[in-house]
Amino acid sequence: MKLSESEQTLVTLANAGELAANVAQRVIGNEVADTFNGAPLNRDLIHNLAQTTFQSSVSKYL
Amino acid sequence: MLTNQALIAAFPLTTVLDSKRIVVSPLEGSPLFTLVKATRSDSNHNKFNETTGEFDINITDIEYMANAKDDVLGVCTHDRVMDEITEVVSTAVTGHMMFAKNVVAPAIEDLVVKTCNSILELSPSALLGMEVITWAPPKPLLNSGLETSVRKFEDLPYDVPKLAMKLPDLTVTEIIELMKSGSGDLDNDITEWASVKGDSFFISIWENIFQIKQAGLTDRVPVTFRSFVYDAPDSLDNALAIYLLSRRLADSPLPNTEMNLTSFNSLIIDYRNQSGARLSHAFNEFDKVNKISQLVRSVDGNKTIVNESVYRRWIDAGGENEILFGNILVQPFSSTVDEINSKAPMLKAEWNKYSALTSVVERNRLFTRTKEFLLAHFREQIRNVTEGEEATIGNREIILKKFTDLIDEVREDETKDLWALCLKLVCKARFYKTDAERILSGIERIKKENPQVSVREAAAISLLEYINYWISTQFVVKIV
Repeated sequence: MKLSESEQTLVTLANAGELAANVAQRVIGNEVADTFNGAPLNRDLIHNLAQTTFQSSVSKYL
Repeated sequence: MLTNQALIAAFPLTTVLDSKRIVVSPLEGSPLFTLVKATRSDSNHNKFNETTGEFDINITDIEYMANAKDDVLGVCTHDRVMDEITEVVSTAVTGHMMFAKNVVAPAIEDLVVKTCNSILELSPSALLGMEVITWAPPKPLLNSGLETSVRKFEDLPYDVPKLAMKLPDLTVTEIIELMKSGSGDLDNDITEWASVKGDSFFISIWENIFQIKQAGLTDRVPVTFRSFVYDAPDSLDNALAIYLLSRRLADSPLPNTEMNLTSFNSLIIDYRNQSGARLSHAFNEFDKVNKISQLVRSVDGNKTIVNESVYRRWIDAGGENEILFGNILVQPFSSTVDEINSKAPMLKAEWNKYSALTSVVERNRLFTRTKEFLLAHFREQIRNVTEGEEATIGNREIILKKFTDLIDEVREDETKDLWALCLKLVCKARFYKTDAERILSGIERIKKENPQVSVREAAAISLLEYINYWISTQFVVKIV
């Protein structure tokens, strides 16, 4: 990394992803499905989806 | 717990942001801030690499520090904070989802259904829905044997027989059998024609012409022999049925006929001869139609009724329905192929001009009426809210004002997707304090992008996006 502060970015994004995955695990499977197109919505997929959304939210700076 | 999986997943975006000198940190005071703080990571898990000239981040160290248990309490602070936040957030997210599903979506559905029903009740412009309807004589009249048999009545003096026949009841099958002549071709044509006309037609003919039943029904129209065979919409079919039946009955009366034989014979022969004369005149008309190539038989509102045989030839020779539509617009309308062909370019241009104008007017009218329906049904919906949605009850005027303002800004192309439009209007006007629009429009978009997935699956992704969005509002972005 070029910046020492990027560790802060990594920790923030990782915590954000972890929080998203934990909340998702509580809410999916009841009122909404726990699959998409038949495939299970596992933590890996949820983490990836979270990082994609986070990228969109900072895209104006990129 | 801050998992290695979470750190690995965050690494690519961190690298991208690092390359643009962008740093993301949590908003102070936010749940994410508390969670990050519990990680106990203060940018001290990286080391400057002299060889590469960059900082190497030690993920293992970060993970270890975040998940280490407190020496005194013996618990992991990050786990405790994560559990507390997850509990609060998941309860709130579930609540938003349930509200969107149980309160907002039914309100949208109600507005969509009522508006659609009102639009369907709108009468379309008379000039839209132009039709060309082909007319062909009843099938038995195309039979040359029948033509020969009725031609002998051509010069018969016109007369109107009394409707005084008193024949017994017959079933529709018996009536149709009675019309048949014993000639295979003609009988096949009669069977085909009978199936087109339907049972009620033949029962009506039998009861009105061959029984006395019509005498007691003063409001029955038509009520004379003439009106049956000349004036009624089905006059040619009537004349044909009467001719076929009376021809047969003149040769062999039915048992249980409640008339003396002299009266019966006199009347049934009158029926046969007068209906035969009517048919012979029809044959003359067919000859004339073919001789002068009369394409248009009549015009009824936006319907052009054409002679089928002439129409087929005209279409085969390059005729187009748009020319016939234009023909209605130019008064008096033309009838023959020669007249219509001589004006074809003008008639087609007339139609194109008129249809373009009518389409624009119709589209504008539909747009205006749709907005009126939306407002009227929304107003009714708001008026009918009595319990369970306190925010609406207390803010009716504000909600209606918001809705009216939004309606003014609706574009015509938005009315093509009424569900999406109602979703936007209802959420922005009535449920503007909730996140229902984000959740429901997410479901709508995901369903459109992935038509094969179920609504529950689309809802799952929309909910994940909503959670991610909510978390991302706690980011602070800095360029260093």
